[in-house]
Amino acid sequence: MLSTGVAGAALTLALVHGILWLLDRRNLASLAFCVLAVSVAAMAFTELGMMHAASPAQYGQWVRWFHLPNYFAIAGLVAFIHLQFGTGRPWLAAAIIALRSLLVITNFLVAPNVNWREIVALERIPFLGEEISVIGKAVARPTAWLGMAASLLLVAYVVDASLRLWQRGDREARRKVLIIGGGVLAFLVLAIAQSQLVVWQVLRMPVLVTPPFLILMLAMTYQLCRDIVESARRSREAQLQRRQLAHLSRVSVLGQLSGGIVHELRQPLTAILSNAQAAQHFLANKNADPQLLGEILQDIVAADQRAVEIIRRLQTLFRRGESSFEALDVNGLARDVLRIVNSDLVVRGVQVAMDLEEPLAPIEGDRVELQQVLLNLVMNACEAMAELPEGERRLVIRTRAGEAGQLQISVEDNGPGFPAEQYERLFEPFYTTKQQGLGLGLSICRTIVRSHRGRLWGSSTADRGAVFHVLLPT
Amino acid sequence: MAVVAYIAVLDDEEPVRKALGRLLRASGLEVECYAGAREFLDGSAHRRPDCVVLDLHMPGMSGLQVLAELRRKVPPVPAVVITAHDAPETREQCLAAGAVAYLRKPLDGSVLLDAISASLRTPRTTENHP
Repeated sequence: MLSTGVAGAALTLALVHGILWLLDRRNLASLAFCVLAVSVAAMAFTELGMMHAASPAQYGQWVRWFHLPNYFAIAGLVAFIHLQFGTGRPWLAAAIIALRSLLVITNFLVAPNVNWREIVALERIPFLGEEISVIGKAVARPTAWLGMAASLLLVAYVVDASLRLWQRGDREARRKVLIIGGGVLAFLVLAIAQSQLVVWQVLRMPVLVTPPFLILMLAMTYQLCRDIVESARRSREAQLQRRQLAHLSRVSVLGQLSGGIVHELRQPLTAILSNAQAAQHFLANKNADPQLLGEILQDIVAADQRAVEIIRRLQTLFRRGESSFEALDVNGLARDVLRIVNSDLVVRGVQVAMDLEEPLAPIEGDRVELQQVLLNLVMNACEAMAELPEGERRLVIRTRAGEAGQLQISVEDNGPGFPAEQYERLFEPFYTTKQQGLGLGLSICRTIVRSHRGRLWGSSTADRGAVFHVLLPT
Repeated sequence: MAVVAYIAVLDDEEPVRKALGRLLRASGLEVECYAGAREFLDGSAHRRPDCVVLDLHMPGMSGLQVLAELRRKVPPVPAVVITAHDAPETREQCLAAGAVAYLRKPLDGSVLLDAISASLRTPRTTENHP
């Protein structure tokens, strides 16, 4: 009953951690745990076999098979501690595995197993309400000490890794040492003591390594769950920080554009004022044609609506909040961005060519974030062309349907470009080629594009300029 | 009968161009509007304007280049520069290039009319300060 219960619990834990690993393949600690738990279930099964062995030969076979899952359980445990602590000495881990391998190989080369030279007789004893078999009389094999040595090496490995982690001094590390390190040591002491006392026939009871193993696995599961909760919390915090950083970067780009935005707003204001003053003149001179006055009022309304639209676009870009994905027309997005930067481009003397493929399939994305990416690329392109004479500064915005299910937006300039090896560095945080600027713009843009399951990269154009591509899934 | 001054308005922004044209016509001036420098230079070859209201930032040929062209004419054609992108250095550049006035958008009709009147009387330099 006890062994069946242990096996059931171990398999349940193995399933949970196996799924955790399948969901996140980088979570190797869960994989190590899964291997350990499956092995413990198999060990419990062999323990059950020993208890119900009808003859010394059968008992010997079960002991022999016990060593195979035990080998994987120890390997899983060492791997788990290595991954969780990061402080274990690799040579010590390798020595444990080597010794255990030697033990298993020897185990299958000798009969009946590595622990016994001969099992002479079994003894039936009552245990937890049923009658079970234990060793009655047997001759021990000297190689049984290999197991003892491997277990002592494991103790040394865990103590050493725990001490080194403890010395790091932070609370989380010390909690880990207490839970896992403490759990492993308590288990090892219990398991070694119990199995050796049984082997030396001091204790008249079955070999029961797996029940303490189960307690250890619960401690490990607690630590893994803590790690998962902690990692989810950190991920939420990181996401919030990324959003705040993206917002700051957006505001900074809009700051660079402020001159252009003022220019853009002054145009409808000029139209409104001049139209209204013209109407005043017509009325004062008593030569107001009602139709002309109607046209003037209509133009005033149109100019006012244009000013409202400029303000609305800006408000949207200044917005700080959650990402909201919607179906977007990439060509419309490119045109919107161009409207925002239009005045700035005129002032900078940059000629723009739009080369948009029509129609394009819509993409799922956050309008503001993708506008921010394009704004950044356009502004970078403008700055890259600042040294060229006016009239030679040419910017091309191109959209193309890419391979199945993808589309590409490219922003190309005819500035001096960058050496080929520099393009990837441009995306590193705080790397900048500008006199002013933090060097975060492109790094944030890449994060945004990646959050859209896309790719952002730069390369040289045929005539030495730079072109940046955004590849997005439709 | 007094001769009506002929003013050319040069601005790439259609609503602005239209509104300025109306304002000047309402004040009794004869006006022709142009969307770009090339169009204006071709048009002004046929009829010389008495004054040009010139937007500084336009795609293609800039206001400063047009200003240089106007200065080369004999006698030079006076120009009132208007701009939505105000910067002290461009004002200096424009006045140095011969603009009679440098006005920032949105511009008050009376200030524009005063600048045009002044340019029609004597080709002297005026400035409006922010």
